Amino acid sequence: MNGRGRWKYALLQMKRGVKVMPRILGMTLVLGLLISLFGWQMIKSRMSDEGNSRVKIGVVGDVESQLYLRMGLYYLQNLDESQFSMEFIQMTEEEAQEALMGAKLQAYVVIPDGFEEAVGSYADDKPLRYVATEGAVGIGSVLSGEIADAVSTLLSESQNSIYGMQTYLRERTDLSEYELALLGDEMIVRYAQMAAAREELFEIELIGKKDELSIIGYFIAAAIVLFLMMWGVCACPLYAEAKNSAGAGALESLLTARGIRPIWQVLGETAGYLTVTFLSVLLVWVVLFAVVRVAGFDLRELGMWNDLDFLKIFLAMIPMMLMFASLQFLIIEASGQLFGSMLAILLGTVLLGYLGGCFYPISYFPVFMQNIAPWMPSGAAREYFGECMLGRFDVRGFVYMMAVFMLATLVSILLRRKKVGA
Amino acid sequence: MIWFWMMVKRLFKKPVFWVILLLIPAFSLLMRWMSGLDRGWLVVAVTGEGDGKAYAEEIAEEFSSSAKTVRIIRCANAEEAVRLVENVEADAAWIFLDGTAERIAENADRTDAKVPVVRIVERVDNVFMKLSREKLFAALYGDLSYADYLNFMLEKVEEFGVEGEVSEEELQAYHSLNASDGSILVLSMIGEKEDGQGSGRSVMPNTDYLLAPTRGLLTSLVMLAGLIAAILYQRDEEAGAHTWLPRRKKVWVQLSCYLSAMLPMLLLLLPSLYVGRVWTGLGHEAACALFLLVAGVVFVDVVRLIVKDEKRLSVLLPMLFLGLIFFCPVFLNMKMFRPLHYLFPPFYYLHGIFNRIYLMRGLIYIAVMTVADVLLRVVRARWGRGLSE
Repeated sequence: MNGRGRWKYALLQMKRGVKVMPRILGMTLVLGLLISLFGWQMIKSRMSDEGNSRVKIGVVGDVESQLYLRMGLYYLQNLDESQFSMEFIQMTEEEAQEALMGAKLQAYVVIPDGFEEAVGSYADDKPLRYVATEGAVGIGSVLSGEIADAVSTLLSESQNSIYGMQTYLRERTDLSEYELALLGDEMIVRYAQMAAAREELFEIELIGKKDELSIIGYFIAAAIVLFLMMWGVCACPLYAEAKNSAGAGALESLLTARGIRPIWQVLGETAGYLTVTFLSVLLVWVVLFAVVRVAGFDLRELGMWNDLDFLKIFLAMIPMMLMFASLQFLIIEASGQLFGSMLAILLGTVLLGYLGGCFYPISYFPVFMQNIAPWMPSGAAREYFGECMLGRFDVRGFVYMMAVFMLATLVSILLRRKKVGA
Repeated sequence: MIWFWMMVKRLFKKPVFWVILLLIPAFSLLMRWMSGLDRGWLVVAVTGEGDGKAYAEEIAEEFSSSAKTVRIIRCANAEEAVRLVENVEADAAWIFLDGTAERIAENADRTDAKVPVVRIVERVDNVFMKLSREKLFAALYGDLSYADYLNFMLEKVEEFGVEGEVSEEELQAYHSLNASDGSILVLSMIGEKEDGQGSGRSVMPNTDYLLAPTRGLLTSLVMLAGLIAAILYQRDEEAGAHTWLPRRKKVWVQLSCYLSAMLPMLLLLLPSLYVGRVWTGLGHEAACALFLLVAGVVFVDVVRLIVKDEKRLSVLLPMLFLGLIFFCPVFLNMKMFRPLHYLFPPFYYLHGIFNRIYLMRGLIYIAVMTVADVLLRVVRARWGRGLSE
């Protein structure tokens, strides 16, 4: 078969891709809408650009009759900056349990009756109980656990001082227990004042952000990468095992016999695969554009873009599409099986997405992983797209993605050659 | 049983499935290894000016050995620390000011405005920065409260006319008498029985943000394996591979198909959880895994019966994957779209592993989903003949 035949095969594959598009597009549209709505909700209700978020902690028990506890909570809630990060809500244990299970609280603290008396007499038999849901571990739980740890340190150190003071004066003076208790109260007030004024111990300088991605901008880049990584699953049934009804490799051998060599088969099918990917991403991008324009995101990176920038950034995504489409095609080619292909693509999405910083910011990982991530497809694409969002062009990312695209296509061709026994 | 083994054989004959299975414990091992490395939510450059250097070193040591959320970079001087923040290599710089010890002692004396002890340089102020400052204050609090204790004691010793020489060593010895181990605050998990004697676990939850999603991610893979098996079954169904089978037998073929994919993943999940240090005990894990398997199979079948099309199921898969990741507590315990959370079996499993109440709710979920499954089958059989089984 001549060159025309090769092009005809590629065109056929592209037509085949377009033919299944209505079905895939419908779902892709829903997927794009869901991701956009989800992101919008998250931005609106959970995080601001600066990542401020209130940790809600329930308080169970009689705080009113426990003077210093009330004072401590009052200080924490109203007198200092922690009001931006912590909110204490008085409730019954049943309400707290319900709220905790409904994720309306990060944790709750149970104050037993007579807690202050127990602390005053240095007995550990009535501790505060900090109740969390370990199963629902996330940033919020770790955050509230860290706060609990800090609070515990404050309580323990204060107790050491008060106990030391009272023991010393009990042994060295004739002070009555009542007088010692009053001295203990005096010390508690000093410590409460110290805790309330803690921000004054720090001389805080804000130097402002340079040209870096905001946390929301980071997650938008991560979401786009995740979408591209998992989108391949939709196209799996189109390619995996589709030609195997006459036996593994039968159609490929027939095509080879008709003069379409493995290289043209793979390039033609990749073109078909890319057509579907391109149209799907375009659709999601249009949806995102519409959501951003209608909802009016208050996001620095998006605010910088005009309509032309949306188009430019879409075009800048082409190397990402090429890389992920070629990798997914390679997986399908290597597996040759629907189940294996789909699972491998999703496993890749989960593992590479996690290790490449698409679920957690990459700065949360050890330095070792931070150094490796830009050399993983997920990490490279996330960084590349992040730079695009800031209006910059990441040459290293571009070269890396094109290299992966070519390498993956080459391996696919070799696998196809092996399959047809060429 | 024959169907089950045939399905298992079908999957295992492809090397890619072996690779996928081996990647699961490998991922757990990698997570475990990484959790032992130095990392944190925030990177803080620590240094000191003059005698603040020694203090900075002490704090850096304390944070490096205990804090999970702050990663410390030691710097030679303030300029270097600030440069790291400017270059986005660190989130904050903590510069202990010259005369740190004197400043702490002075603060213990003052009830009015305090004297700064640490200069903090940040690019942006957010909740994580505030948390880091709370941790820093807690680390300084020992010295601050001790300095206040000494002042208070010297004041009172004079006021009450204590006889004899009062040395700092003696007052320090009294301060160390109680040496509270932090048992004023104990951690307990929701659903745990309270015995009133402070029998909860140690103060901090035994959680590591890197290890924490391991269970959720692996669980979502088990569910995805089941969903892909449903697609595989649907493909066979559409190709007419099971038309000769009686309807009742088909149910067993469907179950075999789901189980052949989910069971090997689940059997690998258990050792992976063990090596990933998110293990809660064999009996408990096995019971919860059984729950996940049953709930997962019912969920997968209901989804297949609703969609009933191989390609639509395939396109739906990424959405279900997103649902599994975001509506189940894998990374975050989301508040939004709460009713949607109840649709996914891992929601009950991931909560239920630490709280039996969720497992109880999960049993209700299984019952409801089973009824839905039967109803869908009846509806399909009565009104959808010719389109489905």
